[in-house]
Amino acid sequence: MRTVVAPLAPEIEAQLAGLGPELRGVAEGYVARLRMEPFLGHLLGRGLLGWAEARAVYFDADSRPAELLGEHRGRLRLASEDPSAGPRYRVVYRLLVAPSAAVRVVQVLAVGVGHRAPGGSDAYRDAGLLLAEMLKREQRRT
Amino acid sequence: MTLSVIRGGRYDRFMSKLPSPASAMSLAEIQEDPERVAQDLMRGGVVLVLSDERDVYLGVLTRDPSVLGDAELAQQIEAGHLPPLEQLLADPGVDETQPA
Repeated sequence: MRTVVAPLAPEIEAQLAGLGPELRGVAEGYVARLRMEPFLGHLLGRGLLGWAEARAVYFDADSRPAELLGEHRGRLRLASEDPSAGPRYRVVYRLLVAPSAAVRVVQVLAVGVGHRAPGGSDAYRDAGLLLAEMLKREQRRT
Repeated sequence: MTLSVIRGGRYDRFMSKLPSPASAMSLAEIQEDPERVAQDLMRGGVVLVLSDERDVYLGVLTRDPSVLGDAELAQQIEAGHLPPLEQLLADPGVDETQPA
């Protein structure tokens, strides 16, 4: 089984551009790492993303995606801290596992802040919107 | 530790790896309660889908990964959300069957 990363949708390219060079580099590092560790992100359990078995990887500016063995753990949240104290950013993606084609395709659905203030957008919301939009935009073959 | 006794037919059905729960529903019945259908599918069940008049057998709803993954990838390519397979395979992917 071969794992590949699908070309990023224009929405994702725009989100990466909005992160700034440092965070963008880290995010792209995690996307590249998904070729080697496609199950790196934790499974999302709710809503459309849950049904799609989407996953999320957490990161921050000081995260090091190339360190596979976790030598540098970055800023981890302690149990005594508020959940918002962990890494702020997310790569939300899903895996399309096609046994017939012997390929596992990583489809990135959103990159950005994990939880923004109420009313604002965040990576989970963006990912859900993109997935919903893809389902609506089904092109009818003539 | 919790021990459960599974008797007779239920044990045989469990060991056979046949999908369960398995039911036959019309499109209208599925639309009435899609959440329950989805929950059954997530538990490893299948639904034989019939037309509302129950006179046309349309197919099977399943989340069997070996079927679902192929279908999702094909749909994404045919809908234009992903490039054709040959372009996807041009990505410098990682093949876990090959030594590094």
